[in-house]
Amino acid sequence: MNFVIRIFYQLLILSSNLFAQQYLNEQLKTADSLFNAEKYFDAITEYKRLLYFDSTKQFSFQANFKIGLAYKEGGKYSEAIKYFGLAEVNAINSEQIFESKIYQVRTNILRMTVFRADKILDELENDNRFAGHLKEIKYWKAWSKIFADEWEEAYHIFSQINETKLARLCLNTQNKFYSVDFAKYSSMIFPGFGQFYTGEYISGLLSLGWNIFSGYLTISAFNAERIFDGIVSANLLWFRFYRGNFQNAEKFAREKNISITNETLQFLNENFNGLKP
Amino acid sequence: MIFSLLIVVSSVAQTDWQRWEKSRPNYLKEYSHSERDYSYSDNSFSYIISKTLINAYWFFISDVDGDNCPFHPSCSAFFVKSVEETNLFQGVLMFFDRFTRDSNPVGREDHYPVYKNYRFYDPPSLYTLDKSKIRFIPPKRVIE
Amino acid sequence: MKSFFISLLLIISIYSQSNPLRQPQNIKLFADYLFCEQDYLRAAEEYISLKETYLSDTIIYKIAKCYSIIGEFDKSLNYFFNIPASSVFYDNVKREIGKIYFLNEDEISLNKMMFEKENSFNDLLKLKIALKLLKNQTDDIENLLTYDDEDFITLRKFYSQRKNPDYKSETVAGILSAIIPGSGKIYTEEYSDGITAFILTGIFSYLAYDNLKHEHNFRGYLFTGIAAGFYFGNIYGSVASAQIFNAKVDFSFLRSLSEFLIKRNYFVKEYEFCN
Repeated sequence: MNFVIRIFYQLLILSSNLFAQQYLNEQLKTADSLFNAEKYFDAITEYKRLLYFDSTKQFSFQANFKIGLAYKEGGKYSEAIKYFGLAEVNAINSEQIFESKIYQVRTNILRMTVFRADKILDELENDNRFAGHLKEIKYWKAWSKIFADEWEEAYHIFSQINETKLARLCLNTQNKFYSVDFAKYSSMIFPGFGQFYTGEYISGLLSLGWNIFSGYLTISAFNAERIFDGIVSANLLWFRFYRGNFQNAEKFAREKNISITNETLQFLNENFNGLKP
Repeated sequence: MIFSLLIVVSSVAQTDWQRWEKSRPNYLKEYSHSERDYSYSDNSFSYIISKTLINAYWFFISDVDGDNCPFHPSCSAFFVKSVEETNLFQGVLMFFDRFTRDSNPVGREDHYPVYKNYRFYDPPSLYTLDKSKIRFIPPKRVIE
Repeated sequence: MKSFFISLLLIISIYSQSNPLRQPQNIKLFADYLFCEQDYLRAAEEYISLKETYLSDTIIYKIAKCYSIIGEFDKSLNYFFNIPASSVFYDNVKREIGKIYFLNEDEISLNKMMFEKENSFNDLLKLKIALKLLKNQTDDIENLLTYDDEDFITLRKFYSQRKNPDYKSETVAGILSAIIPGSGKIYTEEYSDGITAFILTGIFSYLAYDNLKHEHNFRGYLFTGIAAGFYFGNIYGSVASAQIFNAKVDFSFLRSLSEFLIKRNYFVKEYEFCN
């Protein structure tokens, strides 16, 4: 009799464990359905509940990873990175490690902390376990270069992995840039030239005009041996407008380059349909 | 009000202390580009005269003579705003006082808060002699 | 045999529930966990999802505390008000409510809840004094500073600072600058601005004098105008500078008061819920 009771007892315990398992699965489903309905705040609550009651930690990777994704969708990048890190710690195979690391990279790119993204990518590249994922690693490396404003580097990496569309986009952007140094130094040599180069004609003409006028005043004062007047107009007029002239040329080139960058970034954000951070 | 501000600054709110929704990522690079405001916002004669002079000064001189003013708002914009907030006479006095501060290169970083464009923040509202408009901001704090 | 029946009962109870994770005791456990993780909004919402019969004073206190911490004062007050006078939390609830009224700068409500016989009276009185100091209503504070504990000693110091602040006189600043350009700014401790004003007024006055002397009339009048601008601008600026100096005095006073109150936790006692 005792033996039968023991068997029965053990079966009951087993079935209760199975039922616990079933409830945790149900909990995961609830959380997932909130996640899929884009109710990320509530989804996080449910994933946290799952983590709290999951004593055997079988859902640790999944739940932490999903919490990371939810924070990422809400633009809470630092929180997202924290949870992708937790997912990585709880990963049970190298695929899961890879996935959580890549998401840390993607979130770091969005957070504009590209140096961190680069560091993780370098680690992945040097890890033999992920040799089969080299193309993906390079893909994100190129994206990280885009956000680091290194378009030429991005172009080379995209070309290496045959992402021709993105490579072309990076190259086009790079080719559109104005040379900041050229703008600055050409204006030093010929006032207004850098402004013309960047398309700011009125400012270029004004700079040219002021430099001719103040240069004339200064030189004619020195010629007439009015040394004091010459020094005053050189200091207060000529140098001022000469400095303003090449400062403006440099500023215009930088501003235009930011607009060009933002134009491409906006295109990538809104119109590019491929995989993006 | 000031006190609540102090409290808010002293306590660090956490991400999830308020509900949030899905948000679109923003790829764009930020850059603070201070646009000149050439528009007229007042009908008084003194304002229109001074604003016209300042507009001409901005267009023909200030925009091409380099980066000279360490303050935000710049001395000319300070003058226009002062006239707008008070009157021409008081605006001129405020401008001369500002010009004195502008000519003093000593200890600015220990004296003024910093505007987001890395210039020292020195708004006309501090100098209208209307105490209710004075909002003291400690030095070095960054103004968004 | 006995253990067998207990297990059977347990399992039947599990079977009969829709989801054990949603059982009240589990919701409470999860909410406690969130509370201790400082995830206060989620904690509050979990506690609230419990049926009313489960809402003990401790839970209501914790809900109110959550809302208070995240700055949702109206919701917080609603829950604090639900805790009866018979509760062990009552005295501290009053302090918590006092803190919220203080932060809302609501003196009338703070006054209404103060009763001399209650244990919280002393602490609420401190908040009331701090609020008067904050609003600069120093007239009747003297009568309120009746006790002698350490906080009252500190508050007394704040009171004398507020009553006799180290202000600079606007008139003196103006007159000084009218006599010697720049001296008004030196008086308001803007030393380098004062020296600059002196130099600028001096240079342009000299230029005006020199040019008029040599009958360069246009330049003479131009420099006279500029010198006058700097002279009067500096008198004006000295008055403004005194005002700003005084605003700075008020600001540092409020900052020290705020630091003191934060250090003393607004006289609210904290319970160890998370050990």
